[in-house]
Amino acid sequence: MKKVNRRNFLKGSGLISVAGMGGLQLGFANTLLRGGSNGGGRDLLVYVFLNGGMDGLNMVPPRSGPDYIQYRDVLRPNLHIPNSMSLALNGQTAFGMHPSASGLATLFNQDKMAIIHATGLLEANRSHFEATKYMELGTQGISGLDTGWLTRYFNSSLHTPDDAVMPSIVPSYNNTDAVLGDPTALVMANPQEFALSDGHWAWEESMQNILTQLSANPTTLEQLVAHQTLNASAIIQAIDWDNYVPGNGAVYPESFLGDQLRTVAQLYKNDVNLEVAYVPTGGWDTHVGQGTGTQGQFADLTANLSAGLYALYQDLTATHNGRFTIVVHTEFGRRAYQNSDNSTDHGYGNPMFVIGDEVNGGFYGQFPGLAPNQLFEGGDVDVTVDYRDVVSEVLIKRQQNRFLGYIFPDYTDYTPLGLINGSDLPPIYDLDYDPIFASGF
Amino acid sequence: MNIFAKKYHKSAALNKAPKSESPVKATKSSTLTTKSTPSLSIKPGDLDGSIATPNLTHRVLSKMAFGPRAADIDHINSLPGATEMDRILAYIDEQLDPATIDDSAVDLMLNQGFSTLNKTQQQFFQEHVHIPGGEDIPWDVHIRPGRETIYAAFIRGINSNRQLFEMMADFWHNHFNVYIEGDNIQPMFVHYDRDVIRPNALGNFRDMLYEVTRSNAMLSYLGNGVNEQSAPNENYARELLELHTISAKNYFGHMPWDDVPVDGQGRRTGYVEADVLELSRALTGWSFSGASWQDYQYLYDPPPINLNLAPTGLFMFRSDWHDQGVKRVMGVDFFYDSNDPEKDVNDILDMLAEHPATAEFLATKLCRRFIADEPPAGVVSQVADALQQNWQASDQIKIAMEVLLKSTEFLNTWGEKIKRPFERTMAALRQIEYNFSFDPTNEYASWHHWGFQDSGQPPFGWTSPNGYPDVKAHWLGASSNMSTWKFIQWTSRFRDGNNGDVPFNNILNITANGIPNASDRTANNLVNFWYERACGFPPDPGVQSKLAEFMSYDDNTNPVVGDLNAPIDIYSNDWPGYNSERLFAVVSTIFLTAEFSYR
Repeated sequence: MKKVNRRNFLKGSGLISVAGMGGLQLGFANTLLRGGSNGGGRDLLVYVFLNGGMDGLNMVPPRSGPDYIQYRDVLRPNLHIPNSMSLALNGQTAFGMHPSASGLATLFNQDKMAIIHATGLLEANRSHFEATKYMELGTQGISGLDTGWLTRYFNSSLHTPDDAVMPSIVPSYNNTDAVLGDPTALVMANPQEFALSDGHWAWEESMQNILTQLSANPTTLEQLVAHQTLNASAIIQAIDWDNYVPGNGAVYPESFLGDQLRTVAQLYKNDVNLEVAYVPTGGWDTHVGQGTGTQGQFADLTANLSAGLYALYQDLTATHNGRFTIVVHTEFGRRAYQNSDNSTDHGYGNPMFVIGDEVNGGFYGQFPGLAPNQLFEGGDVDVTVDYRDVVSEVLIKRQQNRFLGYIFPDYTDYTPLGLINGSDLPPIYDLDYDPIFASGF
Repeated sequence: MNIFAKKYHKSAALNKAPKSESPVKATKSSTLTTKSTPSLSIKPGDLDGSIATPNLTHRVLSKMAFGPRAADIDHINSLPGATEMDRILAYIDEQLDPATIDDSAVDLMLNQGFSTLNKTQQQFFQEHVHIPGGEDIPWDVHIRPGRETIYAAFIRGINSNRQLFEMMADFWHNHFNVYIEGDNIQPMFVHYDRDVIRPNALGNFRDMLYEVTRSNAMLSYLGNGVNEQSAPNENYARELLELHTISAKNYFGHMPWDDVPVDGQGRRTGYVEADVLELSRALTGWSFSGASWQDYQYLYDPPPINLNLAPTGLFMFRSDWHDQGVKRVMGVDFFYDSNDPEKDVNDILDMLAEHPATAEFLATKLCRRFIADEPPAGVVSQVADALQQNWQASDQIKIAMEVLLKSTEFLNTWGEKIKRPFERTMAALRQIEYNFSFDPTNEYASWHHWGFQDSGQPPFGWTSPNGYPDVKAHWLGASSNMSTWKFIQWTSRFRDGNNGDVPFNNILNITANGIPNASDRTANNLVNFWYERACGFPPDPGVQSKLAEFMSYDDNTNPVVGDLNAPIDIYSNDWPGYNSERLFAVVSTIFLTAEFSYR
């Protein structure tokens, strides 16, 4: 069991553990209304998780050499992206980008994006639910954890202000185990709808007031959630969601992902101490009807993702240059071979993206190759990079949290790839390490 | 079909109910300006977690039903038995035999404006997916069967006397989850609900598994309709092992199959990657008419088009797609039989349905549904034994459910679970005896559908094949909480604009019957009556006083505490007190409390 940290550490009576209570301060909303600004806090980490298993081989397709021939002629005769269609990347011959990912290609060519080859879990698992759970909980080897990796990130963050208003958001209808056990994480899909506004006009406001009073001193976890919901609603209502003008003329795609990313940007710019946004986005499980070129499901998903990330980058860099990092991740890659519907089943190794002003653009990690003897179990791109190396580098260099052994409990060999600028602090792997002593309190 | 892909509905395009109209423009004095400074430094000890426990009847109706309804409580009280426990056991017996329970009120509702519930599977396909000849299908026709299934779920949740059966149908829909907004799923949803899930909701698991495997709803959703031997599609095979039978707990990953431990009866205790591939080979050719592009070639034959060649949507074994080789699944070899081409898959389904890992998985999920997020091992094991020993019995699930529902673990626990958004909403609407018809031709039905979308648990709305999560940690997100609150807030005051603005709730009548003497209808008594009815125990004094103070406000523009013991005319709904609306608001506030959320 983790020792207490500088934030009040709560235990929920055998229900689930409840982490720090610094967040969601109603008092701060008054500052917001007065137009106050703090500008402090850490860099924003936007963690975009592509649910379903994104097909990295078509997202970042080979363009030359034996891998290209194998990809085009053997593995995916009806599904490959021909090198006449894939987008060339500056200084790169081996790999390009999907033709619908022009925004991502632009970011790469501007040195704002790192592509890390062949990342994944150390032990292959082709179940969506298992692989996703391992990634959300931040461990593959330890069972029975009741906190997610982001919950432990915040528990061990020495820099998150004690009075952080809204340190993390999951812009989604559904909760994620990445924030399991952290009631300060706000799971909110649609800010415009986030108010008790469907009552009879005469009593709507009294109702909200009474309910706020009823949950003011929570004694159970469920009351605490009600309390947080109402506080969060008050903060959210204080922000003008309707008249938002993104920076740099950025245009978010008209899609749920576009809405999610715009919400993140808007919250971040409103100085609510937002430090982490976890953005789940689905649809990547392309067993059938995957499509090829710029047609079909995969191309549509890719276009939406690319446009969304490009808009988010443009929007944030206008006002927060160098202050945010976007990580793009998925539970696994897809089978190198096409299936009978010219689509793909579950696979293993897959690229990750890291985007930001402090990123050293380029490719990282070793691509293991597509020859039959190079494929994992003869069918999948193998894994050569532990995905935790990528995340940890961002945590250490940008978020200044080096408690890697606590955040990823069975992780012991941090190997930075040099993909982002920042101080490379030595990691601390001790599971029982107490951040209070580390911070000198 | 792409799982994990939730359909994006732009909020402006939704057909939602208009906001309540105000004769005077309501000035929104934000709660942000209240003088009180909420406390943020909540100490660990403050979360003592203790909650009051309601009586047995309230507990049981909150757990094996969508919440207590007055008529059900009256019915239980009328059952034979010397003690409350005797009557509850009699109620459980009755519920386990749903065919004997009169549900004519629901049947009547399902006849008002519903037009697809009696169509055949082929009609759904040929009238809502692909009309022979290829004529365009308007979107509202395409989705009508799906929408009617959703409305039926609301109707049955609120009104059915066969509450256990409805809970079971909901359970199996989640176990064999098919996302209703998937491509071409909505037209087939009545079929999936009526022909696949409901017939065996208290029946036999193996039979249901077979029907699932043959249904074009599942075959579309998990892509097996286009599974050919040339390059098998693993999607359905994987979920069949992981989510429907043996479970991820017994997945040994990338390991040779003969390294998997063997149990006392010689069974392999789990499955590996190779088994997924072998099962996907066995499932090649298990398809439906309309799954392949070739099924539409008749449209391009020389005229006149032969409409008899149009696809039907019915199960179709495509022998040229089927891999006739031997399949070794979990160490057992399965052989193709040309006289009985479904035999290899059927033999595998037998093995899976008989397997103790399947029984344990199903038992764990059932106990998680009805008892606790982490159910006690003892009762799980008893339920698993009942399932496994009776795996071929036509009433297998009923036998197992009797063990579960009569266990002390079920009867005595409370608050181990919370009501998820649909259950919470149903429980609230049952409390207020909500009487909207959900007639699909009435625009209000669609308002309910869209209004409930953001709750996080719209019926059949989970995109991926594992079904809605059934542990409370998932449901403690603010988004889901707020959206569910808003839906309850809205339904608790929604009125029939087509019928003299009569409210769909029955709060006034229930109150008048419960507190017959008008002079007794004080703020204190109104709150005590509704709180105890909804939550099953009297309100804590701090909660009681806040709610009673709200009930005593007699001017919405100047809400100040009045006499808590003065009678209130609940039928008066005039400015500025709006007494009826205030009572509705107080009642719905009770439904939004944490105490109402336990089950």
